[in-house]
Amino acid sequence: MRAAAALLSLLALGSCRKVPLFDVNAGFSIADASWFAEEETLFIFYNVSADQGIGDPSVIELTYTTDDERVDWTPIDQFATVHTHVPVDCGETSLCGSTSIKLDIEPRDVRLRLRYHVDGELTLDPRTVFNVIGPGPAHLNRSLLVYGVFDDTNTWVQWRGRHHFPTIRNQEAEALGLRRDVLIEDQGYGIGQVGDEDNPYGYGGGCGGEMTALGFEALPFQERARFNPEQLPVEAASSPVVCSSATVTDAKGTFTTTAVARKNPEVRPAFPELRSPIHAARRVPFFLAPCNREISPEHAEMQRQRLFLEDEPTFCIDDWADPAFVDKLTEAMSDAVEDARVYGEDMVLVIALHRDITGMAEVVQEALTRLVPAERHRATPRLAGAFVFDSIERSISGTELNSSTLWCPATVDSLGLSLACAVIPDIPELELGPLSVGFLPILPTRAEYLDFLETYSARLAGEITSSEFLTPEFAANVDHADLGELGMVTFFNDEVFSAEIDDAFSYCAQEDAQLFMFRTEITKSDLLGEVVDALCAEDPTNIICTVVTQGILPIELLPTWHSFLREPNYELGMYWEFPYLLRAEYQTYVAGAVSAFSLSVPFGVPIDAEGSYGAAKWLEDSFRMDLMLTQCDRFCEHPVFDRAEVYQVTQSFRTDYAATCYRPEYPAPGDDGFPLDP
Amino acid sequence: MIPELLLFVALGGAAWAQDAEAAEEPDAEVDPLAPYRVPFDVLAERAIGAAAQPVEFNWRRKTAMVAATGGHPFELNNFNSLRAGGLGRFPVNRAIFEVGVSYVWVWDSPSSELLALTPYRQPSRPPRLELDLIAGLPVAEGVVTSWPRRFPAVQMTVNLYGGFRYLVYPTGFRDLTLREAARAVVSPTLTDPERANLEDIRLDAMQVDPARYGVMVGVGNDLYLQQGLFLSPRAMFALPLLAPVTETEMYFQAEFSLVLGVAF
Repeated sequence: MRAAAALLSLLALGSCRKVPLFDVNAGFSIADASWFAEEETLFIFYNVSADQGIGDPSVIELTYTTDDERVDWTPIDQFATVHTHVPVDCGETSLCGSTSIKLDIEPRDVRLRLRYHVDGELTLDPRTVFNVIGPGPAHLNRSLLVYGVFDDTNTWVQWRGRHHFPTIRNQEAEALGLRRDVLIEDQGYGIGQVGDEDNPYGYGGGCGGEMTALGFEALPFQERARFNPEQLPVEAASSPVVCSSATVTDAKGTFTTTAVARKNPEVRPAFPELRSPIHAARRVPFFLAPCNREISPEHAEMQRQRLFLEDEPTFCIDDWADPAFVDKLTEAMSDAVEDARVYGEDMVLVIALHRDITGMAEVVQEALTRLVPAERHRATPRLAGAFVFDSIERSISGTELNSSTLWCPATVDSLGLSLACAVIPDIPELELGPLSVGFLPILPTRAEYLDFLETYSARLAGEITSSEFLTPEFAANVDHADLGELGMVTFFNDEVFSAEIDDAFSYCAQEDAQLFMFRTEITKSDLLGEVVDALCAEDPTNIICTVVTQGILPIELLPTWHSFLREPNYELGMYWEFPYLLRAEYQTYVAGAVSAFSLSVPFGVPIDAEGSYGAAKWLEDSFRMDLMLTQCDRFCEHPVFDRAEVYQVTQSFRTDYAATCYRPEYPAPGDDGFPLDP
Repeated sequence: MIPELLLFVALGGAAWAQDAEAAEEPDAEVDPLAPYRVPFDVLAERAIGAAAQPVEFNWRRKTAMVAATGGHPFELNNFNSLRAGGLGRFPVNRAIFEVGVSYVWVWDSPSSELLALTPYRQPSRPPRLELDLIAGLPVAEGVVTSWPRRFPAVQMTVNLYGGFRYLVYPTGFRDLTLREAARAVVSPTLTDPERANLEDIRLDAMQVDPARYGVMVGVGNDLYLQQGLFLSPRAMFALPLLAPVTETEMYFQAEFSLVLGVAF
């Protein structure tokens, strides 16, 4: 109680003070003045902020001196303005605005200040930035430029004013309340070349040629942008420019010169979509196993189930060591493929290899190497590839077979797509006293499988319920560029797009996009081949050399290629690394067993799952390219809009978008007012 | 409760002293009940203020009271202010609870007008509504005579007050969305949209104090006439207990007010 009383007493004593005064910390962020000789106008811009406390009683004052007079400190709202200056709200702690004063003689000693209170004596004197813009061309020496832009259809023109001050940006001048009167008249369309590096907006630069009058009504506006109420006629479709006479007001009266609107680049997807039908391939089954001895009936049964080979007769491999066995196996597979080819479908060799000797796998691999890669270049019906379900994990990385055959289970050091069915080195098994829980991959090795059966049951090993091999259909005129182990580039059906000499392209990298290639007459020519051979002599295995040697180039290079070589036709191909996709649905189990004494009772929780092995791209039969490669066929040198709808007057499709995504957003009729135009 | 305890202790002590004196007389007849006998005048003294309260008006038996209030805040700055409003009073057990609403007028003084001409500002509060929630604890009461004599005796109660004051700036809620208004109501400080709105009504030399509520303590007495009319002058003081959260610059504030009302 005493402590609380003491605390309260201290608190009361400490707080017994009068309320202090605080400095408002006022400061100018803008105190700018610009005098334009061509317009005989002095523009003033100001923005002053404080913590709190400047408001209506505070005033901005101006003083200047000319050769004729000295104007003492005067509140700026007492000067007559040349232009419209609307009151602006810069926030409760700011005072901002602008004004324009008629001055036909260049002023000197132009200064601004804040008088804290109109009746007070105290002022805040900032450093005033003062610029003088002398006589000169309209696009450099006037405070407002006028230009036009088009909507996305290139048929509606929006005329715009753009403030042009030495230290104040366009939108800043607007935000400080400056409004300008603009009048657009005598609009016409034509083929004039307007605008250059010095005058990118083409203001006051003339119309550049003969113009056809549009007969539009005069268009007055005070905002920064206003659309024509009339649409351009069809006859103006090929004209790159609409030219007009633009009249702006100043202290001398009015000023009229030419203003131009240039059409947007006409752009379309170069090749909107690449299509290749996908079908389920016909299986050509083989069950390879010794006939004179038994390795593991349980394992053999599992292998047959996984590949749906229950009724398939065993192809005996007892004589695998015989030198003639490879020929015998190759012939058998070839005969089976030819027998299946009559159905007109693509095929996949589906092989279960039940073996316990390493040499047996090598023999099978040799037979497949003779048969499968050679079929890759053929049109449908063809042998797309092979799938081998072995008894022991194995790797075929680095072999010719790797790009057309899945060998499962694979060792963990396998490369390429076979890695998808690599065995887990040590399958974790959870043991809690008499309870053990385990999990078996759907394509296990024999050792894994038999080890699993010791604790659990064959039923808990799961089963494949359905599977299919999806592969693309190759047309009769299909053409390939074989990149060896890297994969293949296929020109499915003579997919070609054309380009004019002065067309331009833009490539836009896409996430998860397929890898496309192109080839032309020049890339296929012997001359280029010789050049590439010479350049790649030191390292012919370099990936770039491997690709270019085949006469193909990545699609990323097409914009640059066309800008230099201007070829009329481009063939489009798609890269793929594996010829099919095995999609399997299966049921597996989280297997458990309870052991007591010598008795073990297995149980399991079923899980429906789906697995994919091979190239996932064959899930789709069409591949979008509309966002990846765009082609400009007209007005490609004109300025562009960017994605923020900002008019980038110094950029053009041809020079700035070869390797950059072109995603313009355009103003639309009705978007009058104050567009983003920094 | 505390005054009564003090009274009992004082009177009880006196009675015990008398008992002890009686026991020391050697010639007195031995009376087994003597230790328990208490003279009548002592008993009467004990009953004063406990068994029966001499009252002109028993405010504890009233349900409610309504009153008008007027006051003069002393904010220790250069601005003038006055407050007026209404008060509801509700006796509960041995205390009294008050709910009030007042409007505070604020205007310039010559000092603040001069201050407006400078780049300095002083914290203060624009015109506003003040909502009060106050508890009063009677610490002394009794019947007192009044002067001039032609006025009747009155019941006087001295109260200690403690309460919570919540400030409402109606202009501050202008154009706020429901969400902004809800956020503002629970915020201990004025929100930015409120401060922007208050720019229009603040005085030129004023820096709007951001606090929305505070704690008040005070002392006052109630003078009840037999008919139920009552007059209550009081002095209230702001305690800056909540200053860390309300960010107020006005730590200390006093207020003298007069409450005039009737009990039902």
